[in-house]
Amino acid sequence: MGKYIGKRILMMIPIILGISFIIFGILELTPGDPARNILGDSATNESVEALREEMGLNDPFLVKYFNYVKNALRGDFGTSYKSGLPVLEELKGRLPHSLKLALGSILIVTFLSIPVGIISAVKQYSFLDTVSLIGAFLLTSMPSFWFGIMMILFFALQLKILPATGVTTWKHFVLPSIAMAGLGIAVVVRMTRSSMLEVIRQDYIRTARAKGASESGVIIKHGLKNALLPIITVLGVEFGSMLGGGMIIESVFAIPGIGSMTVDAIRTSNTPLVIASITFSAIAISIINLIVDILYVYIDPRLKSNIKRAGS
Amino acid sequence: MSEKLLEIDNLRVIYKTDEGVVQALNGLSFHMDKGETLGLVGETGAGKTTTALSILKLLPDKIGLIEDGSIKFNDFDIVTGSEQNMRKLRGDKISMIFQDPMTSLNPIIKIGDQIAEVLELHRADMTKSEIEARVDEILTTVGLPTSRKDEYPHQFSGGMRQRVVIAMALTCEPQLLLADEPTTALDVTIQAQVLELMKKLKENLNTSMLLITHDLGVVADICDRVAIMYAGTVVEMGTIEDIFEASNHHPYTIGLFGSIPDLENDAERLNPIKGLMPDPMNLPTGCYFHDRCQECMEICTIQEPDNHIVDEKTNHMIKCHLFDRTKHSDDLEGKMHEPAFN
Repeated sequence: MGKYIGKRILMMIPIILGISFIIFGILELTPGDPARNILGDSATNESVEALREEMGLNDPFLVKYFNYVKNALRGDFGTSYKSGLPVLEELKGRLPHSLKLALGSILIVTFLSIPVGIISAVKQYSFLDTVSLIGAFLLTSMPSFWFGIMMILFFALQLKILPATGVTTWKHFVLPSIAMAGLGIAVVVRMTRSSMLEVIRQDYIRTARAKGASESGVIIKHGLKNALLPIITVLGVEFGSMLGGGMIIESVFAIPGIGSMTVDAIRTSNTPLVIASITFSAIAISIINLIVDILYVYIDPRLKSNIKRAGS
Repeated sequence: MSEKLLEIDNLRVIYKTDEGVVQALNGLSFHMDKGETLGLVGETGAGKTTTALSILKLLPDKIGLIEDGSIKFNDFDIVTGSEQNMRKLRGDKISMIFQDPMTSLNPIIKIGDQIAEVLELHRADMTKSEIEARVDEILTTVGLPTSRKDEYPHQFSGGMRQRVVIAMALTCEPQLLLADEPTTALDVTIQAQVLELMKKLKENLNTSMLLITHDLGVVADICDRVAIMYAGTVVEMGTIEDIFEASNHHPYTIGLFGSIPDLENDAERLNPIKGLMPDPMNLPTGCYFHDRCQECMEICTIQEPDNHIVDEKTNHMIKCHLFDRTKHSDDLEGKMHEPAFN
């Protein structure tokens, strides 16, 4: 098992290198001059050119990329053009907010969607199933920024029970977490339902009933664990996109997280920050995928023997 | 006569599907004594598995319904019994071996734990170590090494998995074992082993067994009595001698035996029963077999035949107008013996 995990971590290196290369290339092709952005419109062409030379912007593309990777390996991801702070410092300051938001959302998704999905499957075509179908349909159709704004209007402005923006207390994260969870809830409810439906038709579920197990025992002990693989796959994907993709929600609720930072950085051609934040998302998603794959093995023993066979 | 364990009377089961109402069991009646093995034989779709699922009351939820009739197990009425009481019966007094061992075990639970689960459910007074000891004991009984109880189903072959299923069904020493084609999914050499095992265990535990099969060879090997099913009813029932050796038979039974290939005589083709089983959504009037029957009479198309006892000693029953003594008692003897086995 340790060998497998080590192998998977090694495989993350080319993935991250590839992603940073693609981002680097795309930013190279985008118009706009970082040196001009830093110095402003009033600066002379000479001083802009001098800064370009100093920042190494005039080097060939591959040289620039190579230098970037070399520095990154030493922990230096460059400095933000706008604030002058090292990129790593910027990320560190914003990461906790994004992390809290994503964790809040994924907890809501997990603890709401899985029970609802199970009930929908067990009571297929019942009233509750229909309600969950309509709910999932609404959540999928609503743009998350609109959902967020509606919640601000209702809970913050009308009822005044939750704050609209800011990050100072846990209460500030309630509305954005719900807004971010919306789509995930819909996806996970439907996935849980279809996965459970497939499992409860299996022969071994009938065997469990024939043993005299209670209905809840049959569903939880024999059903859910078998249905879990596709569910945690979707949860992993959702969590990854929540960690790196909070751009819209963070903007709506004015949360200074990685998402809103990325939007800012793109708008101001703040290249080091853009590369760093997108690479961060890539690393986060790779790690989550690895965790999901490890969980697979703990859930389904059949996969363990596959890994043993492949590893030896 | 020995004590009755199970009595099914005029059982009617339907399946409500999108295409229509399937009449799966149409007035099924039979009984089983304690310690007896009854073979339930019939084509695919005759209602054999439905019979077993009805006894456990595990028909598919909202689709399979018991419309009429009664199932009595030791004076307990299964049809009207509560779900809670049924749960106490299942796995303890009545247990079932399913057709396909490849799919009937939970793939992510250790086989030892799957066997132990039955004991945890029904023997609340047993301690953990007692359960463990019992699991070891039953594994040894079915011929599996106890060292493998911490392995998962995918690590076993088909025959071994069926042994696990049998172990699971027998841990609580049930009074009635429903074996739904226990050997169909296994290859022939393993079939013989598993049958031998079931026969031995059944004798040791004095368990009654309802053996569902379409393999007449298996029936001849281990059954005491046989019920031949057709379109959801029993058309002929008797001891193994009645079915295999006596001269009076239901035309369907004759067709069934006639379709077995003969090893001694050269024949160009097999000798099947003409036609197909009737559509269970649209059953024919009168006798369900009449449009395939070589002996079909006018009454067969109009009136459903009664159960006629042709041998009082063995209770050999045939559900066919040919054996209605009140109508043509004189020519009964002369009529049936000739066309039987050719």
